[in-house]
Amino acid sequence: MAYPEIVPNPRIDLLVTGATGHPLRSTTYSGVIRTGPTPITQVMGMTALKGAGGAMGPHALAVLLPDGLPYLQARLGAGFTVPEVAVQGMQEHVFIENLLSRFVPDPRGTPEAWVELSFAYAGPLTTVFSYRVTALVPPDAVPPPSQ
Amino acid sequence: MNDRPEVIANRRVDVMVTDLEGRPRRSTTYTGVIRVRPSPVTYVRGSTTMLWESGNTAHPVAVLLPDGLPYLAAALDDAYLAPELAIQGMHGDAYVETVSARFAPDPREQTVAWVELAFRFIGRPQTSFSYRVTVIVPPEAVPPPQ
Repeated sequence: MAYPEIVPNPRIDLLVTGATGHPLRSTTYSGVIRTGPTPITQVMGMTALKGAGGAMGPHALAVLLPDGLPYLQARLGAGFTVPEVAVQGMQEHVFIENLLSRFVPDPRGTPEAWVELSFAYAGPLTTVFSYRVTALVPPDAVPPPSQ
Repeated sequence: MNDRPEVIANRRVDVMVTDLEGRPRRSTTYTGVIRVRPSPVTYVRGSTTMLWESGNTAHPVAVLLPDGLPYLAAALDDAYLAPELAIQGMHGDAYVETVSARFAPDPREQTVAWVELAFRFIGRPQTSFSYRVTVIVPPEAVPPPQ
């Protein structure tokens, strides 16, 4: 298993109307990020937590959302993303900093951009996070599936 | 607690929707991070360490959302708010209770109200939180920008 492991939920993809009356595509990406193997184990028939080992960080995470839509850079206009992250599993302590989401250009040089979520955290490599990123873009920023 | 919490707001997601009775509604979602005290993450001689204040105590928190829209109090009869709170940084024990959101009248002008998020937590003072407040109001509850 490669870490961080991202377990995405189905994305919620809607056409909405902005507060000023313009059409928008609202896509909500959510899921779980595991930074390492689970500490939950079985010892002599009992459930236990392994001790939190490893460096306390800070660990910098930057992930492209695995179910992210391909956004056309030239059509993003005033599109933006909103990141949210919460702790779903931790040992001892954890602290998140520098939470950010953004559209990043495709490194292959194509016209698309992808949604990236990044943050740093101090804590053990057994921490689990719940994430949610909402992307609001003009409807034509996402090409039709046939292309 | 005398500290003024730091609220790091994301951009609000502000859209028009239709409720199940077919009425137009304005849905505004406010999200961000609340820190009651500065980050415990620090660097000592090139190494990262966390300096947590000791002791678990109860902390009431109430903040006006910094990017909140001005709502017209007279148009909020069937409006509602849904607050959500999750932990983003903690040490040892942390427990959140009594999370609420409301339209708080502007003390300067009672015709206007702002969104207030309040909660109480028990834990280290540096515990940090991710928040989300969704506000559903009639479209006329928000005056057009002047």
